[in-house]
Amino acid sequence: MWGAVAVLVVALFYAFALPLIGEAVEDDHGFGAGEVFVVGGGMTVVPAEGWSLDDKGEVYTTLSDGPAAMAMASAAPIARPSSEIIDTTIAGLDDDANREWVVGDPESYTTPAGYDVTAVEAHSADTAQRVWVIDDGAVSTTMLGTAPEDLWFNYEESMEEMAMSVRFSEEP
Amino acid sequence: MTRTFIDRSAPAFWVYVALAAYGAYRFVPLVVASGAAHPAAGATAAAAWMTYAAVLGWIVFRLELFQRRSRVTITGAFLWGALVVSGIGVSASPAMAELITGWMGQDNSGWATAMAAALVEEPLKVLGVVVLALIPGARINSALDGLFYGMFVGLGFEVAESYLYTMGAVAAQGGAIEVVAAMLLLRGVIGGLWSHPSYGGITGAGAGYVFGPEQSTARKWTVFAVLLFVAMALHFLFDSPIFDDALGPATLLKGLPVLVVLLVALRIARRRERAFFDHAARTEIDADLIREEELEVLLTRKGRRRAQRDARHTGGRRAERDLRNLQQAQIDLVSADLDAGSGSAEVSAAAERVRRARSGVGQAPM
Repeated sequence: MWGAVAVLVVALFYAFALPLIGEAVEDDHGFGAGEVFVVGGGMTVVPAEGWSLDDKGEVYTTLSDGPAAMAMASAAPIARPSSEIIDTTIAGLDDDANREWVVGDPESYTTPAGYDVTAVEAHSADTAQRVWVIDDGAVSTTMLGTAPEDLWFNYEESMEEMAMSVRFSEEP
Repeated sequence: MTRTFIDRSAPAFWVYVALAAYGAYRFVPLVVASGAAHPAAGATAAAAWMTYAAVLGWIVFRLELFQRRSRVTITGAFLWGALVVSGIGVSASPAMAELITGWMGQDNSGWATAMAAALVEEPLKVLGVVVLALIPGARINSALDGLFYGMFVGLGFEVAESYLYTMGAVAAQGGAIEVVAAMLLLRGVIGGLWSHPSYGGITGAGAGYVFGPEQSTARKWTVFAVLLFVAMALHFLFDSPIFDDALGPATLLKGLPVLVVLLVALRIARRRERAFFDHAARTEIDADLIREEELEVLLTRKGRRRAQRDARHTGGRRAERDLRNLQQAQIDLVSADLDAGSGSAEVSAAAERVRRARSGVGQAPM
């Protein structure tokens, strides 16, 4: 009887207590639910639940959630077409001497705010990443989400959610 | 008493049921969602990984020395890995990674993830062997039993996890079905030998040792703790970013120690099992039921097979079959003695089966 209770206690620790401890740690430096965060250049995002500010610079801002990171560039006037940025990204992955990447086909869609998105996802043996180039015809931002390959499915949804939450102000 | 882990009178069985239900609740929706996004690739991946499980399961099944372990209990071990470890791991692994990343810093997230996987998955896997061992019908009472079921727990987890990885890669490739073969090669063949079934076998051997005969309690728990630590360390090393510049040599370099530790544990566990079997057969079984020369042959699979081949050469296929039946009846008799104790009804029934089997063999040479 006590052996069964011990098994249950250990399992419950991993199933409930550990995630609660993780959440408590996140809450110490995380964002509030639905909080709008100013990235820069007149661009905002709504950080997904569990994500917190890791680094804030003039050009790049990085949010993190455990081992996952989402780096985003401040909005800037469009200098190159989105497809060209994605092609450069793919070429960089193909030339990566440290990792063998499996790169997907570029995808195009629009955000709820009506901005054009061009994105590409890539996986290696230990890391996965997705790059979004989002523009409203005048300004654009590039976002890079990375996570360990074996935990990617835990984070891809919240990363996409944040990319879809991007808003550009009228005058960046 | 039942001969499988399905034993409604055992509290541990209901703990198993509750945790399996929770694991399914957490994990199955992920499987369904990833399969529904790309149905053809999902069906192919499911078929590929189940075939992989069947092949690797058959290989693990060949590790049996004497007992024919219950297929129902084997399925129970497999499902623990596939549902409970995967289902609880869905939230526990990122939480552990979060805590360790907070301690080590974002720049070391590769190391943190490797450490998190080892600290979450290995204890959850060995818990599967422990919960089964707490159910009398599962009959886990030796290091070899634990190693055997631990490998099936690990196999269940590997197949479940690999299916999700495969579907993640399929999605990244826009539903390309050929990715399934690449993932099967990468995770199943290149990484499979030294992956979760091996870690599960190492920790399972420690758990089985705790439930085994003799030895002091302190020694049992020490062996359990050491093997759990070794499996976690090997898992951490294998997942760590070290040597990742070269995938092939890195896999070999990090994987070989896992295989070596597993084989050493297997060798020790089998030697102990053989010694217990030999002792029980000599001291508690009537010499008419298992003769001295028969016992020598019974102790190894190779010896039994050689004797069966000799019987076929001298007396044909029927003689071979009769001898095989006698050997199995004798193994069942010693197993019953070890499980239920001498003088039990199980031993009496098994002894009767030996007598019947021997009458079929007649004077067939051993």
